[in-house]
Amino acid sequence: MTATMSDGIGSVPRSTVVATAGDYKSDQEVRWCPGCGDYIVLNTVQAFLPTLGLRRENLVFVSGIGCSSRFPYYLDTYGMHSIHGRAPTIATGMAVARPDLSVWVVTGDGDALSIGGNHLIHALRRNVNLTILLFNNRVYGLTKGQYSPTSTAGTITKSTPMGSVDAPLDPVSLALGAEATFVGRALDSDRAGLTEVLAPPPATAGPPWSRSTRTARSSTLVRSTTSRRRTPPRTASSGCGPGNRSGSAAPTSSA
Amino acid sequence: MHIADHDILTPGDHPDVLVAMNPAALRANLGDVPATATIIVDVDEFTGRNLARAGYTSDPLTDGTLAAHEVHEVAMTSLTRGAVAEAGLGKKGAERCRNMFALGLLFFMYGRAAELTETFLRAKFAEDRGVADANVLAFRAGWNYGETTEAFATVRVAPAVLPSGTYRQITGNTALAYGLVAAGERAQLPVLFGAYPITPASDVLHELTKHKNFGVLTVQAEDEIAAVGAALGASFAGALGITATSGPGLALKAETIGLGVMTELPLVVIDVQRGGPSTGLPTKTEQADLLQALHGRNGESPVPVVAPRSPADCFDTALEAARIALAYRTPVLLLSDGAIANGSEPWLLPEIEELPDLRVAFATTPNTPDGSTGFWPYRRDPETLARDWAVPGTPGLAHRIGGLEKTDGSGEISYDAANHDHMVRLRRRKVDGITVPDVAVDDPDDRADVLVLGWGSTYGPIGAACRRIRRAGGSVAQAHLRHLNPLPANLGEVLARYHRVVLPEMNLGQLASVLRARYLTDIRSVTKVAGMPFTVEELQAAITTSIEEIVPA
Repeated sequence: MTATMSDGIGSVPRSTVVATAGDYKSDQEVRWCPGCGDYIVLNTVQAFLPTLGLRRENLVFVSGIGCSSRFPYYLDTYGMHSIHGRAPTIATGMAVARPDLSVWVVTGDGDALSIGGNHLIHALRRNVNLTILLFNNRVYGLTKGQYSPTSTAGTITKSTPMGSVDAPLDPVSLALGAEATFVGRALDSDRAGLTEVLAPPPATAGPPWSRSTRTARSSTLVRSTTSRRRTPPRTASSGCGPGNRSGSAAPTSSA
Repeated sequence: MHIADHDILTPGDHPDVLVAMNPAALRANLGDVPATATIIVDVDEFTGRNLARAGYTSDPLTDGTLAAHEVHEVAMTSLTRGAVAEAGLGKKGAERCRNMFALGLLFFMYGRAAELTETFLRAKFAEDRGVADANVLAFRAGWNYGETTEAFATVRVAPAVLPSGTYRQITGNTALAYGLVAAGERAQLPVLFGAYPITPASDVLHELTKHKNFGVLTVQAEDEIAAVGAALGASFAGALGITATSGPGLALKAETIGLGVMTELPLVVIDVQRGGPSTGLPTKTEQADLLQALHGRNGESPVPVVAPRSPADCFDTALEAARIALAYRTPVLLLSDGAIANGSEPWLLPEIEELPDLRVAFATTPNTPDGSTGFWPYRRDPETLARDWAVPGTPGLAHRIGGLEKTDGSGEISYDAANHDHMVRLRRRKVDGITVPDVAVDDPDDRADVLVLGWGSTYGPIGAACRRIRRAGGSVAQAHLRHLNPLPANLGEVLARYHRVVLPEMNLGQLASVLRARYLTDIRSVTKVAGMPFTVEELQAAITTSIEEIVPA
């Protein structure tokens, strides 16, 4: 309990046994639509977590509401499926009260950027020990396909039959604007790239106070915001079918 | 300021003395002053210009405005200037000591000991000897003026007979903060207090920021929702999560309180009520959030509700809220109000080891029915129905909870109709089954026909009104509720015992409607929503009317 906020995962106890991806799988049946990118994100995270070498019981996954927010049920860690947009607030309380926990927020574009936009900004700038995974599929999937704050203008959905008129929000710009200490972006289908942005930066990167924290590296940002950006789909008329898998998982991490 | 030789219940209805430092102050406050009051004015300030600026067309000191009063015209400005000359302040600095001259004069009139005040002034202005000297000189000059002119009636107030011990003056908000610190100590848990600034609750946050040494963490969140979210998250992580706000903030926290009800986690939510609706009257008092506290969430969402009756009582009520939250794993609402929050009274310092033991046992081993591995988050204590609480960091007990309906026991998500019906009733039964003490009735001669029932800050004026009625030979019983949900088990029997129950509330009868529905008992509501507490006179009149209807005078 004496750790400071900038200790990152350095204050989380390490495991003496080597875990596997299987250790992080819960007994729950995974229920996303067939072909959804969330499956790949889940598998990648389950494969990645053992590499952190942390005690599994010191990990907590907190989510809000939406397809992405089912995530905690599928991981055998402590977890809370909370309320729409508010996961960063609950995670903040956990991280402040318990510096020995590695606290993760799993959220989506509607959850984090629309109803929970304010909490996201403040979680990033407050910089307590959190890692936020934002699954951006540019549509409200759970409620059957309304346009989201990251849908491109002109997106035709049930709630925008003539095409949406709002300009989309860029989650990476927002995270950088809020001065998140590490911002990365990857595609669900790019397992290697996704694993890379999940990993904490090397301890040597950055000044002493940021050792073991995630510090923004410009190379990551440049790469993730330019070459990895996909052309958005024109329509998102039927929720999250396979043909509408724009899902770029864009982890914005503040640690 | 209210001085008495017995315990004081209210700040008093009307002042006995008004000190008007200028014509504007006289004009602003004269309406609050009864004809029996003494008025002391700084006559140096009653210039033609000041009179005109205050809106007087003639001089109230000579035109008969104050004819009913005993008026003392004291040249306070010039007397003070002369008295503090040796301290070497400038003219302006010297004149700023007028208030101490007035205080000294009042101390003489009421026979108050001067030493403590002089010590206070020396400490307050310790960094500037001249200012300290001037304040003490002005204070003494005021006292001496009273003594030498022999123009002022003096009143002697004997010391009150109270339980022995160390007392301090405490406001409701400070007492709440201390109670929360004590709750953390007695539970041996860290306290995480999430808050967003809001009048009149912010002082609880201000006070708690000073107590990190007691394991109190404060988060000034980005909004009310984040404040309660941080508190609930901290509770999940094994701390005592607390948030404080006022009515508008409570509205914003409703969804998260519902999550606390569903996840069955400890959470203390303090609402320092103010005038509503909407932004309402932020600096004025009201008790109109009771129904919001009891019912203001979606679904069947029962939460325990407690209310302190006075500033010092905030300490004990905060401990009680924490006890219920921890023992039963539930959000608890504590309803204070502006009158209690900013009002103050003497508080007898408690012995920490005599305070209730709030320790909880976290789950540390598997609790599944077959006893093998894993954790069932909704397995319950059969007596309290509190669920097992395993905190992150405990090996082998990792589990997921959330806002979706749960299967009792295992905590698996369930959309099953029978299970939902069971869980809704179970959550209600858990709160209904919380042990709360019986309500005590103060009925000294045991022959009262009328019971005056109250909750929260009306305790003071109700108690003072009952005293006056009894002193005048009347009989009246008084009972005051700390627990508003669940209600004390004996309340129905108490209500049935009296011919009439009178219930003063600073709302339009919210508790009265709850009690009528619950007990099918008629309740006579006495309501006031003027942003001010009831005066003793108002309640004395209302209660006396009820008594006389039954027993004609």
